[in-house]
Amino acid sequence: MTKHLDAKEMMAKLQTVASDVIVMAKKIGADGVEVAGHLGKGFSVDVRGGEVDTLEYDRGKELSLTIINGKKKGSASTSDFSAQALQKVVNAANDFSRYAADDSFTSLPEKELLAYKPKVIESYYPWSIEVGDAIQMAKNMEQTALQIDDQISQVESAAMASHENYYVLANSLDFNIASCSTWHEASCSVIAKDKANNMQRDYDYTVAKDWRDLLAFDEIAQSAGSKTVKRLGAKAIKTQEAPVIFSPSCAASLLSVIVGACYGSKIYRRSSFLLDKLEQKIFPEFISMIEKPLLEKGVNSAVYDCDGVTTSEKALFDRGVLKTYLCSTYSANQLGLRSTGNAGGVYNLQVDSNEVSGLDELMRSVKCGVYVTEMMGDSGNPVTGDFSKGASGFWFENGEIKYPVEGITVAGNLLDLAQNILAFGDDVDKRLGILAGSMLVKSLTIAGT
Amino acid sequence: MDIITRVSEELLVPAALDLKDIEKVFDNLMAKGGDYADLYFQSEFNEHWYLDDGIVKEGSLSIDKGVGVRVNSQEKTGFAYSDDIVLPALLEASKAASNIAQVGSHTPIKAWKRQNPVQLYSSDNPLSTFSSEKKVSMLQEIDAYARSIDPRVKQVTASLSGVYESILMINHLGELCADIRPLVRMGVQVVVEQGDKREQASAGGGQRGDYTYFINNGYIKSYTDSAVRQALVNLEARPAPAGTMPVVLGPGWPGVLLHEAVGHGLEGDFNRKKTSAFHDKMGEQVASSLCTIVDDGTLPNRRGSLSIDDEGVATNCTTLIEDGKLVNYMQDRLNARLMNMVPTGNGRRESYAHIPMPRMTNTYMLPGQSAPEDIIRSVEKGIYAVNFSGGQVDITSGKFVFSASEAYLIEKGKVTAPIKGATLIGDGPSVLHKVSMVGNDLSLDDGVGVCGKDGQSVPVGVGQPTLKIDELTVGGTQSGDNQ
Repeated sequence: MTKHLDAKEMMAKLQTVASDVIVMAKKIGADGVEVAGHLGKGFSVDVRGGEVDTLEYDRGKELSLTIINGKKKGSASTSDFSAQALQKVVNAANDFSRYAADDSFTSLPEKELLAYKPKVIESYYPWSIEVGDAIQMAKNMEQTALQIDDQISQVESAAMASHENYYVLANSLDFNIASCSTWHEASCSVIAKDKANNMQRDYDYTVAKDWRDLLAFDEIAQSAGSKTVKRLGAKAIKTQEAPVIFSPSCAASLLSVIVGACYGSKIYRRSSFLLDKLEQKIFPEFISMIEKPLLEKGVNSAVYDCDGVTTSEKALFDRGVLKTYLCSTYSANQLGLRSTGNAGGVYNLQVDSNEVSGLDELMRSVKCGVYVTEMMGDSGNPVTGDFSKGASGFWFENGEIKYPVEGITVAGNLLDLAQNILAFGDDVDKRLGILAGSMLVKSLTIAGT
Repeated sequence: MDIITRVSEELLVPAALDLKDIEKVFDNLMAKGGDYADLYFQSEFNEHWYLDDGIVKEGSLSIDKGVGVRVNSQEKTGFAYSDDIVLPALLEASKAASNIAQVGSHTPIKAWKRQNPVQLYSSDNPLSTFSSEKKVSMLQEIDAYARSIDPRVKQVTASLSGVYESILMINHLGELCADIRPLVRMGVQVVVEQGDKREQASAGGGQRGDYTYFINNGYIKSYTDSAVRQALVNLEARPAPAGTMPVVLGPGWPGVLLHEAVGHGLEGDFNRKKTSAFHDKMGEQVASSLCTIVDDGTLPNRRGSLSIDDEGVATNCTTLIEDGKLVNYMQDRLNARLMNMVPTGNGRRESYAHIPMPRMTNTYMLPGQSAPEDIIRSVEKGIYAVNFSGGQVDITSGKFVFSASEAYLIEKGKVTAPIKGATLIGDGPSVLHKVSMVGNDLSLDDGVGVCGKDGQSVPVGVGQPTLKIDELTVGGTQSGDNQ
């Protein structure tokens, strides 16, 4: 596919700035340099009460660099790309490196791991939509949502956004690669009020790299409206132990804490509950988790990581067993391993489960319990795996939702939770970086009245 | 040299921008009308040093500079920004932002009015008034000291950061004001090990000022002591109880309760839009008569304080809840105008690239009469929570959480065993009705708070005296009586 002319220009500009910075750094004697740059533009519009609430134009840029001198490093960043400003941050990074301690683990990435000729996954689909049309689409969404139920008191926000981003990553090993991607989004947040004047809010959204993949806005508005109305009359339940089903987004949120405990940076700091657990069974045998960085149009796809290291498909958990830690160049050096191409994170993690069924079947399989659709509060203790989250959702019995629930907590330990997963749903949420369906857990402590 | 002149020299002079140019920008920005418009010039120098694994691994500096342009027309906001402060970029941004208004035109500015607010903090640059060697040695001291306290300390990470920010706000009324805002922060995190048990804890603090704050007050040691002590306490922690029970909150940082339970719900935008659970409760009793809660941006040197807010309005000490009765919201200019109220100096924004909104500054409860030990003694069975890792609120349903990171059981009027971290969950509009005792020991937090709203982060403070809530849901793992 031929890229838009301005995309080529933007990327060429970034590559030039990056190579200029590397030349500047070498001129003042830097041994190694890494540069990351970003240009972005776009708009977002928020509609409320049939009128524009906020119209926002974004146009920003940033360049950050790290200078390595011997085994010492320093960093700096700027939003000003003038030669004078760039020289200033190069000098600043160089100065900082003089005050850092010698760190034997500091290095540029291994040359043979760098993505000098990266694969191409198309992620650039600019949307030549007029702002006026986007406003109209948002207004339509608002109208649709308002008509769903008499109890809907207002649409808090019906929003559209479209962004184009350009990136460069370069280092003094002659690596200088640019990329571009787009990001389009529509969302609708609805408020409903019951007879007792108690309000509830819920929302839905669609995001895609290719605007043609966005879900129909009517569907988003309808789903947001009906989700909100279903929450009216929510109440707390008694404190008890009960089965819990986590919605795909809640499941992804809990699993992301487990994935976070696999990072090399947490392991070498001994601040992970998965320390010394390599090759041990963390999940039941029917669960595997595969990183798929090259998924076409995947929200977290990347052909190289933030160090420029080529990413690749790999199992993080194979039949329940932890197969690898997730390492950047630096954390791999610390652990005496090789980079796994995970600087900056995990790139699309797909949960594969041999126990899959529809949400109804998940509910039927345990008679009764809580279906958690929203969680609040911190992510838990990364060293012990203990977690405690505020939750809302629904009480279910015999495969049917009985009534909405709020004001409760679910708590436990993530290692126990992992062992007690019974099945996943088939309702995978493709908008998220962790691709999982609803997750049924045998039993957790629920605190309520 | 006054602050406006100093900041103008930094932000306007390099681009050769003068007030005639600014007038042109307003012509553009209000070409299609509007009730209010402003330009917000900002530069920020942000340095960060961190120590990990016994050595100072890296220092970094980020430099960001730009201008945001905004116009309000009735309830609408048009906004654009540029990270190049030059006239063509300003004209382009103002033209884009102007599109939300439909009728009217800009009345030329007759006279420029320079505002000179009371300065609540120094305008010295904390990055340059302290040598890099000294910054590094402060971090090394933390590491050495932490490891010397107890052999079970296995990992120490420490960080030091400093911000030097200059802002210049000019609005269509011709009002001009500037502020220089220093901000420093220090953080310590430790991992302790005993046998195969591991735990962590963190501590820290900061203020609007420079790094001497940490040295002059002995904070390098006291933050480190606090982190190590908490981590060792957590090694002994038992599972927390689950269910509804009396909760005593310690003074200071547990005031995050107020920030979540009522603070956000009393921000003007949510009440104008009637999306807050408090929108129809003005003048009503929303807390027990023991509770008086203020938002105070005027405390000298505090992390959440501002001499002026980001719309050029002088900050205030605004009473939100007086003897339990809801008496005020926190307002920015837009929401105050639309609600026929007065701006309270709570219009804040993360940066030039973000839209101002009503935000908290330092939110705290005034002290009451009870001695803290009497409050503890009054509880037969409950928990005493003294440290928290944060919180969150759904302002529409009113449900809020805050997560305890250091807490103890209270049994028969005595603080006994430490318990594991647990989230506490409650309902904002009703929880403060259950406050039955308020201590005489008001204290404010150490200065690490960050508040997030609509994707924008700003520094804030909280505080409270020891207080007792008769009933709150504690999210532990031990249900039933066999704890």
